[in-house]
Amino acid sequence: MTHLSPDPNSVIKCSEAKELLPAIAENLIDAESDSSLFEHISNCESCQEDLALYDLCSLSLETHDEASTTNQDSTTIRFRLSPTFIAAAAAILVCVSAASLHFSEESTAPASAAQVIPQTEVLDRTPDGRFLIRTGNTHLLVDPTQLTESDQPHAADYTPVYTKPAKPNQKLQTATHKRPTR
Amino acid sequence: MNSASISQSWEQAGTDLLVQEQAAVRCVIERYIKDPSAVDDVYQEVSIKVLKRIHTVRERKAIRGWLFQVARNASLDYLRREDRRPRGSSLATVDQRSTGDMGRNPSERFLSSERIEAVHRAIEQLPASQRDVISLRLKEDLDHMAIAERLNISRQAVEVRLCRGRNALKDKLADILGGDL
Repeated sequence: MTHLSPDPNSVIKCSEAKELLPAIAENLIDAESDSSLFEHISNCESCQEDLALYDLCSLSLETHDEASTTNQDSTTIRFRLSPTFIAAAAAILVCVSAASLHFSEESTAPASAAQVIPQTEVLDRTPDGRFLIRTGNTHLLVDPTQLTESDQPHAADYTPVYTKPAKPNQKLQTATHKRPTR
Repeated sequence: MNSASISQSWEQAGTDLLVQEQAAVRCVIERYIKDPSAVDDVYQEVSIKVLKRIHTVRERKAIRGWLFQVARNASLDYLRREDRRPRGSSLATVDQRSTGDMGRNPSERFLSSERIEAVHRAIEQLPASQRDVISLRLKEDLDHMAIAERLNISRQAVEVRLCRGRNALKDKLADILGGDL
C-alpha cells in the first residue's frame, strides 16, 4: 500500500481534508469525532504526507523547547504541577524534613519529623528534574533519582546551599546537591 | 454468545485486520520513523493496541481510519519517548549518538537535528503575527484562550493565525526538506 490514492467514493474531498489537517495536528479532531475524514486520510498519500509535516513541526518544537530549557541557567526554573511532581515532592518532603533535624542547632531533641514539616516546602522544580526545597533556613537542591526506598535520611546526605534567613521576594540561590559515595 | 466467545471474536477480527492492513500500517509508521528496527517495535505496539481496543470501534466502516490514528499516535509516542531520553543538551549532540546506546543512525531519525533546524528556519520566515502565535502554541503549549490573552487579540484571531501559520510552516518545511520526509 505504498501508492495510496483517495477513494473516489469518499464523502470528503481531498481539499476539504487538507483544511482540517491542522485541526488534527492540534488534537481537536480524532477518528471517533470525524470517521469520514480519517477514512479519507487512511487512503490518501498526499494528506498523510501533509499531516506528517504538521506533526514534524510540533514535535521538533517540543524537542527544541526541552533542549533549550536544559540549557537554561539552573536558577531559571519551569514549574509544572503534575501528579508525578506532587508525589515526588511529598516523598522528598518527608526525607528532607527528617534530614533537616540534623541541621537545626536549636532543636536539641525533636520528637519527630512532623515537627519540622510545616517549615519545609518544595519551592520549585529545575528543568533537569531536581527539586528546590526550603527546610527552615536551609535551601537544598535534591535529585529524586538519587533517593531509593532503602535510603534513610541522614544529614550527611544533604548539603545546605543557602543558610541565611530567607526574606520575602529574595532570589533564591541554588547549588548542586552532593551526595557522598557509599 | 458468552463473554469468552465475544472476546475471541474481537481478537479474530483484530488479527484479520492486522493481516489485511499490515502494509498500510507499516507505511504510516515509516512516514514518521525511518529506522527499520524501530518500525518493527512500533508495529508491535500497534498490533497490541489493535487487539486490545478494536472492540471500541463503533462503526465497521470507520475501522481503517481508526487504524491510521492508532499507527500515527504510536509513532508520535515513540518519537516523543526517544527524544526525551537522557542526552546532551546541545542539539549538535543528536548527531553524536550515531553509535550510542540506541545503536541507530540518527541521520535516519525523524527528529534529526537537520530537520529540527529546518523547522526553526521555516518559523523565522513566517510573518511576525503568525510566528508569535505558532511559538506560543507549540513552544509554550498555551491554549488558544491563553494566547489570545497574552497577545491581546480575540480567540478567533488566534485560531485563524494558527491555521494560516501551520499551513505556511508546512509548505516552507516541505520546500526546505525537498520531499525528504
